[in-house]
Amino acid sequence: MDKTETEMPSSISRIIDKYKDFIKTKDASVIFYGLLVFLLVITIIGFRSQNLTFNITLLIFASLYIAAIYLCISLGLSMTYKLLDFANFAHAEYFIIGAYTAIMWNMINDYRDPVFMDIFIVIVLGFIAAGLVAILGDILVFKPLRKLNSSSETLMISSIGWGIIIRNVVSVFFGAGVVYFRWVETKNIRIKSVRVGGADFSTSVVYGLNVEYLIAILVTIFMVIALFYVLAKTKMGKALRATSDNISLAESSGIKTDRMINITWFIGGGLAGVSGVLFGLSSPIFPTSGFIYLLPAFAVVVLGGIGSLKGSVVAAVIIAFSQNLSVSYLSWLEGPLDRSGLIAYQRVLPFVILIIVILIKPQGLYGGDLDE
Amino acid sequence: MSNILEIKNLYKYFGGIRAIDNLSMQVRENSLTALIGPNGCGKSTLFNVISGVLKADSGSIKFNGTELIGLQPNEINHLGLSRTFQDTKLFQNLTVVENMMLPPKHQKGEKLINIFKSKEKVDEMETELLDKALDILDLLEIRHMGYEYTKNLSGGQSKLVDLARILMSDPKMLLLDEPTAGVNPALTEKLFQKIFEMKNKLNLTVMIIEHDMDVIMRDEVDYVFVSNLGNIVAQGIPKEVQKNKDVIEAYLGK
Amino acid sequence: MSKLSINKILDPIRIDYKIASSISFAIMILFTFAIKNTLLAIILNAIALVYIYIQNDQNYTEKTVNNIKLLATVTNFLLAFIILKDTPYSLFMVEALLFIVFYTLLALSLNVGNGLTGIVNFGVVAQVTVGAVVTGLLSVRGMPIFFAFIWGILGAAIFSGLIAMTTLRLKDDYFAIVSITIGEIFRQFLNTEPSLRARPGSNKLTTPGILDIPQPLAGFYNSTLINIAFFDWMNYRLFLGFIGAFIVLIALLIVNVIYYSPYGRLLKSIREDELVTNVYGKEVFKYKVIIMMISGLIAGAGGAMLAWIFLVITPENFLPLTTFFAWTAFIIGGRGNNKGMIVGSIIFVLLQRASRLLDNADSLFMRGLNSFVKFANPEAPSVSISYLQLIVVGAVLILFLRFSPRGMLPEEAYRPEIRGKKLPRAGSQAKSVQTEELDNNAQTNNKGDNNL
Repeated sequence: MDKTETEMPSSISRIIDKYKDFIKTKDASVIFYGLLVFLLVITIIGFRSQNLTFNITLLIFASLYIAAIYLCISLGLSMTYKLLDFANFAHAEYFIIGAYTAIMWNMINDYRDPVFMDIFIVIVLGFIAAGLVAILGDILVFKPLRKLNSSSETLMISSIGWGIIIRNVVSVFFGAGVVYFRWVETKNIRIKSVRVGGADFSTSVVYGLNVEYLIAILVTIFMVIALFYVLAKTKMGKALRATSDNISLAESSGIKTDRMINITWFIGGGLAGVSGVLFGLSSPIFPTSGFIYLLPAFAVVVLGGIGSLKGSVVAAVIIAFSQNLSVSYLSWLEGPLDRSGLIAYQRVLPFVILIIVILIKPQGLYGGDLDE
Repeated sequence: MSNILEIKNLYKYFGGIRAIDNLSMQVRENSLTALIGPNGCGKSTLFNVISGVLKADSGSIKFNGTELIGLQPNEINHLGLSRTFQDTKLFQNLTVVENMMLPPKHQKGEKLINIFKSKEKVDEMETELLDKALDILDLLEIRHMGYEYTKNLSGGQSKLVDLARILMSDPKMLLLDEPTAGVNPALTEKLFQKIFEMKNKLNLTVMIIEHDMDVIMRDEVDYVFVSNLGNIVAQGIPKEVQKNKDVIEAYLGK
Repeated sequence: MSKLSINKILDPIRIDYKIASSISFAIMILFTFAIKNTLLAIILNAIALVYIYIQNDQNYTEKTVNNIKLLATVTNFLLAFIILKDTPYSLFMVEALLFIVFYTLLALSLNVGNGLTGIVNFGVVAQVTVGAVVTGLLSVRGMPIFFAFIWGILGAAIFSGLIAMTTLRLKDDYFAIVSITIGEIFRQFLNTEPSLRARPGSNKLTTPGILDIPQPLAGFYNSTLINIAFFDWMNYRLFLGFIGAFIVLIALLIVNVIYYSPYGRLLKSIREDELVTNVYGKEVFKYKVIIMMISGLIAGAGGAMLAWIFLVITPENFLPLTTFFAWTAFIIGGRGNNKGMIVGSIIFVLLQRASRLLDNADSLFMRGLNSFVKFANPEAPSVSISYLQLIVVGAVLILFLRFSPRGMLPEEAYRPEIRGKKLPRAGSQAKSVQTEELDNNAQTNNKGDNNL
């Protein structure tokens, strides 16, 4: 053996370790508060230039609406991720199933003007359709692979494949173009709002709130409460939680884990389907619109902590608000930076949050310690 | 004889659970030491902390006078401290010989530039390593499985290959984590004989984890530590320990 | 006696394979020239090829079988290429060749990262983006194409190294999510950043994209090759395909050297068990960063190839779908087998593009499908074949993962003989070490521990 060679210093990993320790320990708060101060300074500069404005009511409702969509997708994603230990990249396609179910309902009824009741029928139908497709996906794709003891990597790749199949089957039947849910007309509720910033600093304005936004927010709140109730109070919910904590332990204590897995898929897929319906009420639908929400949903899941529904709620609100706030900042900054199109970066913000969270606190806000 | 491994006031917590709680111990050079204790008493955690897989919360571990706390697992291995795992972690899709040719230190082929620039030297070293691997397989009398995929081996064979693999890195000290776990009882004795033989032939210090007390109570074992709840409750030569009340309590419960 | 010697002469290529492939070639040539039905010839040849693939004989090592499969696939492709030269399908074949080159590079990059080292890289398209954009931008701004290409692949390698350094410590699935996210961020940059828009001679572009990217050796081709009679059948696209094939060859040689070296063995142990490799004295992290850089190098070359194929790059060229396609070619070819990457890409590209041959609104198939769709949804626009392609690709991938996870050309066992070195044999067993012998050993050994 060549003894003259010196011991290999593990320099790179040492440096990285130090840098990670630096972030993980007390200095993380320094960075956090530093960022806060920076934001504050930027905000003051913006207000002084009279070009940075926030419409408070718009901000709140638009953020809650986006949070509702993100949350509905990510709840199911989080549940299946925790239960089966793989990231399901096909989850966003269940969103599409829900949205197109609503379109189908429209078609079946010969495009009569939907009455208010229709929305609830469509939500239920969307839930069931998307839930069934999710179960179908498990039966066709994931269950056979689990039986083969495939790695999570294999499951992830096959989930991408499954997602592409769903998306293109939808495209075959509906085309790749934009379709709309024929809601009579966009109804507005006119409510008062305050615009902060600008010449007078605070102006009272009237803001037309979309009824669809309100419906989406209320339905989501109802569903989240229902889900929490089912998981916390019912026998089935307890069995579900036991299964997702430790699948083999649950199996040995007499829980039918196969059934629990199917129920989880049904609920998870169904929630994503409902978010598709809610989204379709106010926005045009196309087959790839699900994929757009996939990565933000991952951001919500990771920030909240995988498997933590409470975390998902908090994370969805945080990400939605920061995304909407960033719109104001970015559109203001287009002036001083002499750039146009900067506002498009609001789409990137959830991605950036996702990466930062994974680097600094991979267990998320409410997740358990991943080291153990 | 001097102490090769000295552990002082070692702590390791998992959340609220004390896995290692103020543990101190010394291992003499060229001895065969056993660490026994019931399941879940932190034996494997101790090995993980020594080998750098887990970070200790506080305390000191000195190997040949070098502080191990804060070193990476690969650096600890380079100091001459090599370990096995309880669930024999062989590289399943590689052959036995390939498994064994991984651990040697300072291989020429470990540098990307060498495999393009000085191919002859790399090949030369490979031949050397192969000869060495086959010699060790000869010592353990398992040369015939040299080109076998390790996923095709039985439990006992895997344990032997595991042993062969850590011998490849010329260690000064071996940490063997339950070398007989999952092995046919009839072969346990044979496996132990191999370990003793290796230890004497290659002048090694060996530390063995066992949860089965009877296996360890034999003349070849120089010293026994009994651990319970993350601490050493008794130590001594096997015969002394066998009579110790604390040990019996740890094993049979309160 | 005579039988034995024939077998010896034919060794190591099995006679069955030879016969089967000769028959397939013969059929194809016959049909092309006698019956003038190329499509039928290709289909029959494909059947013969399938026959070759499902053959399984224990007497031949995995390596031999793999080599035959590679040979059969590549020769069949080239043969089809030559036969279809003067038909309306020649354009299709040239485009197929270009994309085979592209996906071979991507699959090879994945093979280094995942097949060899076990890194779950879902950000292939990010590496491709860097390679394509750097090559495109620099050559549009006037840098010689060769240097632009070098900067492109180096840029992709450096970028991959940086990503690896910050995120490779994560769990596999987290790394997968982060890598796919970085690809999307890059696409957004390409969409919005004015500095990433260019065309020769002008800097102000209102739409995203890099236009009129110069192609390699175009001047040389125009001035020299076009005048040589021998190359009269060549057009520039085909020439570009050969340039790409040359790049693939170099990448393959480099990766092969790594693969069958102690370095490759180390990487394989990282794939098998990162922790154990680290405990046995190897600095896993360092190797993973280096390997990500090499994978970036190769994927970056793929990116440059993409820029040359399209001449124009826009954000739509870098959808996450590309990553998925690369994974499909990689899985079909066989994880951990470099030769498999060529086979996988050929199969994938033909699978994906062959359906274009069916893309005729009047064909029975399309009419049937359209009327079915119209029945379900009267408002549906007529079906585009590209959806069907994607469904087929997704289904094939899932079927492979389920029924043949090792792929078309499974990973080969390491034998030191591969590097042309004879080994000292165990004294008791003087016979040569062969797969089947080992398999027998394994079976007897598994019966009990008595062999110990």
